[in-house]
Amino acid sequence: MTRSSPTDEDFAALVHACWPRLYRTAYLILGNAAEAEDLVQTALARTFANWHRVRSLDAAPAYARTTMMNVAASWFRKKGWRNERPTATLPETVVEGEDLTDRHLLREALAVLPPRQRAMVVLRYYEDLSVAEVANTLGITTGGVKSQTSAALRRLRAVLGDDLLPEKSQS
Amino acid sequence: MNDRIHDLLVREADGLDIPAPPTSAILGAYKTARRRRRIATGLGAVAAATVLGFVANFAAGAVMSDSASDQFAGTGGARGEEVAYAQIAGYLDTEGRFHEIDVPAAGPTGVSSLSYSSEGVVATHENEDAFAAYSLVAPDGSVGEAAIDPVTDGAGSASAPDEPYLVVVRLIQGKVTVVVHDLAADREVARVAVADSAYPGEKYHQFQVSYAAGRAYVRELGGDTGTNGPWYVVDWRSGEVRQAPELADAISVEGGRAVLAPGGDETAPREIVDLASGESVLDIPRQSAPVEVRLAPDGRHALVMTWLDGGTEVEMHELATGERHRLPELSSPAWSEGSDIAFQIDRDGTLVACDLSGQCDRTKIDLPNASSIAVELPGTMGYEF
Repeated sequence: MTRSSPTDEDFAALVHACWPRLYRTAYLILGNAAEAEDLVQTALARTFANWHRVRSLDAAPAYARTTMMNVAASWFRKKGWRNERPTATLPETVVEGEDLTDRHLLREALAVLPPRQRAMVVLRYYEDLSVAEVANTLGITTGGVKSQTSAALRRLRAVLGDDLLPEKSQS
Repeated sequence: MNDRIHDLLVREADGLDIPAPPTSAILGAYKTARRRRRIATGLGAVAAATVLGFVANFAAGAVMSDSASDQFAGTGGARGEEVAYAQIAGYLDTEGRFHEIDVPAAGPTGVSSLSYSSEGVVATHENEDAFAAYSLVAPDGSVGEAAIDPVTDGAGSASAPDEPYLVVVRLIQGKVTVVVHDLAADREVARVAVADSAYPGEKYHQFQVSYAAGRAYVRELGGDTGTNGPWYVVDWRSGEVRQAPELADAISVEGGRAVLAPGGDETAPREIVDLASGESVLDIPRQSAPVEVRLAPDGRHALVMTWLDGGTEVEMHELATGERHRLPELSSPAWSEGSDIAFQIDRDGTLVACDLSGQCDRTKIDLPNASSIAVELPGTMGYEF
């Protein structure tokens, strides 16, 4: 695909190609299916609207991911997601030795993090971005990424327990 | 060593039920965005762009079926119907009279923004494909073509209400270049190379520019990279160019004053500084909601808008005295030609004009296509989408 005039079919194909991965990332960051869907939808539409900046079909998923994080960062600011989001129930600390078969535990653990820290954890450890890439994506310093990620992991460990998220997981 | 948290996240992600992508809705949203950008281009790209007149978009009510648009619910725009747009551009003169201006489209686009000069109102035509052209609307309403070649790789522009110049910033041979046009003489009078492009790999370039008292304030915008180039101050008469580290936190410059936002957070404290003296003229503490500051063209007043959940709160500040007035009737105002009236046009075609004392008048104005519908936001800010 070139930078000029992709067809609706081109875009539709790109939507189907990008959607699952972006949705998973969005869900991990937001913890809400409807919001995740809305975020990915907005990011993809914005990516298409900025198509003159997307250099190739191969580059589009990464561009869409960056766009998605920019949109998410904007939402964090505008929707008042600067602090932790309330949850209906407090997550319980895992009993030592318990097998983590319930994915909801991680979901609830992520929910106690402030949005930006949650985004850092997801980008760093799910998307496998480098510290520099996370910093660039979120528009903050590498030092900020390191300190906030460290703080996020401490909070996760406090909820999940050191056995499930041992100290060496920090980096 | 990060395997454990990675595994937990992957397990969680892999276990999700992935909904089918709303392809048609995404394409509908994309098309809506493109249409908006045809009308309000440049404003979105340059969040703090100087748009001092008023450009509104009136839906002409031509309803068409478009299931994609029906499904989309993300931008807060024309939802549930596909509409054709008639564009309204105009400004308030020094006596508070609204002048609708009728400027033919230049190239592929109509008017995207207006700015004031001593020779009249400069209408800028820009679109998302980095096209930019300019028209000059004289005080008698006549429209002339400014003798400026259209730009196709991106440009920024500015004028000052008390000077006859239009300053256009664009990339020429890899250099960010300030080109000054004398609108009275209708000719180029200066061309100053500022710096190498901060984003040389980009095909299209975006610039933020302000002009006051013979100086252009210029920076290159990084678009979606999340970064911007440094500010430069350009004295076009002497050709002097200097980088301006004191503007590192500036998000907008107008009328010889700058709005600083250290940290860049939309709720962060803001400070307005006088560029000649370096003195602070207004401090805005951290707010609980995003804030935008719109300086008047002459830099003497500022509109501070706070985007609260229940609506936008607007305050007019007189920077010399510290006096301020709440303007509850306004939500997204533009400045008049004389920098002494803040105004907007409401959805029903009512002109709301508030003077510097905070007194507001409402006048129903006659605008084509405005009888039955809706006005989208006045164009001093880009659309969020």
